[in-house]
Amino acid sequence: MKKYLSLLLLAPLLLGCNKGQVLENQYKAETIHEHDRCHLCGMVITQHPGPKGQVHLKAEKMVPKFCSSRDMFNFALQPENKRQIAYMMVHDIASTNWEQPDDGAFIDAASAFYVYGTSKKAVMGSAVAPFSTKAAAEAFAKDNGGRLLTFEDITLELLAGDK
Amino acid sequence: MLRLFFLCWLCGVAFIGRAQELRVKDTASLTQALVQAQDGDTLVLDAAVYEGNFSVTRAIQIKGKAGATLDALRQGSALTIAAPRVIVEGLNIRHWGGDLYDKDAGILLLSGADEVLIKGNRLVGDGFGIYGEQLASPRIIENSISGNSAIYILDRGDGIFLKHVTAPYVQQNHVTFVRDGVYLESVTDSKVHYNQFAKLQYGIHYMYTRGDEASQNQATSVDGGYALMSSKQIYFHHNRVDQARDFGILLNITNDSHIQANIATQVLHPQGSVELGNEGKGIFIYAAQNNRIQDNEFSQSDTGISMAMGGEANRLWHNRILTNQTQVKYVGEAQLEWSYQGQGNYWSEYRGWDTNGDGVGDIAHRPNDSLDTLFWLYPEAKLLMSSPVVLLLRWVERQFQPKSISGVSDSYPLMQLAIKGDGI
Repeated sequence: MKKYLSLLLLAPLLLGCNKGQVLENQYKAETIHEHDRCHLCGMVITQHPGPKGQVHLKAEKMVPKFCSSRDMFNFALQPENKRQIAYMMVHDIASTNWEQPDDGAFIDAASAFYVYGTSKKAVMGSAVAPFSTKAAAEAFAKDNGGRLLTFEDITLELLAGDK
Repeated sequence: MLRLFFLCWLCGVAFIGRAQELRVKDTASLTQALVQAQDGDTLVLDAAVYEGNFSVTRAIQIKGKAGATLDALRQGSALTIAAPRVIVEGLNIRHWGGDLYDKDAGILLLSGADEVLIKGNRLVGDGFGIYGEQLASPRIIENSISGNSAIYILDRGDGIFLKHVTAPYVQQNHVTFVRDGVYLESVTDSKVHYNQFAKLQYGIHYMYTRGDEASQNQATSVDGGYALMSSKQIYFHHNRVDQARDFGILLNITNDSHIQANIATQVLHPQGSVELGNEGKGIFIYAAQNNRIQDNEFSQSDTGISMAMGGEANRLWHNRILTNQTQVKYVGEAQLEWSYQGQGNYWSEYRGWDTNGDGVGDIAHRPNDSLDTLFWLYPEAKLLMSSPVVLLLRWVERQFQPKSISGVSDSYPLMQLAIKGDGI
């Protein structure tokens, strides 16, 4: 009886294995090396503060990496690139630091929460700061300014409107 | 008697106040002269190798005779300048350190080293050629700066690195084997003219600058010619870049600038692909607004003009877009008109007529048809590109010139390559 009970306790874990996690297993975050350059603007990624991004493509082995989550969106939202993208990853600022984000902190971009318009400086314009939880994003926005957005809220129009 | 004494006193004052010329011939006498020298003195260095790290703390002039060489013995900066109005001329400088974090440089300009003149020196070393931060009006003229080609390009220092510097004047330098030829960050009112760049990352790299001007520079065999990033009001004209890999000119988050009469040719990326967006681009415009782009040539490259969404609000006219593999790449939804006051651009593939002889083609030119856009969106369909159906669709589209499709249009394509230079 005890055995079955413990199995029952495991059940939610099995159910928790949703699509996002399957993708997470399929796409491993790549380390950003000191010589890696931003796929969009060409800058050396690790020389700049702020959360970075990387994009896993359907047809290509090569994983484009970006100096900022902002430039990642600038690339990923272009109509010609949108369809080629399998999975996007961003640094979770809730679990790493702003100045030199750790590559162990890459999370699924689609399920992250974002703070836009914060006073914290990144590169290539206003930062698009990602968080694994809504609470962390809210807390960050309270301290550093900016508004809370979901993945779907981030559009080229939004990014273009900022100077 | 009193009068005589006064005369002597006057002579004395005059003697002390007069600028002296000090000859030095070895490391010891140079070190001593740098300590003793007063403002206005001139140090003349005989042909010799002067070893170590030297510092200038007075407004003096340092002149090298042919063969005078500073050698930092591969550690630190060779010459550190901490005083204003210093002149350094005719020196060979070599073997400074390669620690970029410590700002190792051939010539290191410290805060307050205003109005220096660095002229006609030959610098060869690992870190930065000339590094300056927090100062005003340096003049850097006719130097030859070479990095170390054995170091990976991103680990090299920049030829000339200036940060928080106002009104620098950089002219007729020759820069090779460094990271960026001239790197300007948070700089205002720079003038960069007649420099030559080869075998390096970018010829000139602007970051957070304002009110700059660059002309008559040449870049060859580089990753990118000129990167204008996060900057404002740059007058960038009559520059040239050839044999670049990533881009000729990059306009990124750069606004209110004037890009005129430049040539970007042979920008080719051997491993690049249009699908990945990393092909060679004559000019790459994204997140850049209110720029005037006129009289330039973009030719013989993978892509002539690449505009990403967010680059729409720019004016392009009188440019020559010649024989690029892809003349224009723009996949946004907006309809863009690339002409100004009835004058468009010259397109090498334009086949229209000019029946009224005004030099402007009678029908608008669309560098891309809707099928180009389709193939950019669905690259896997590329194998259909030359199929009869696609050719038919292309022909049909050309016959009807639908007004509603998105993309770039030039309503006034120029018939002649030669363009009347009407200035700004």
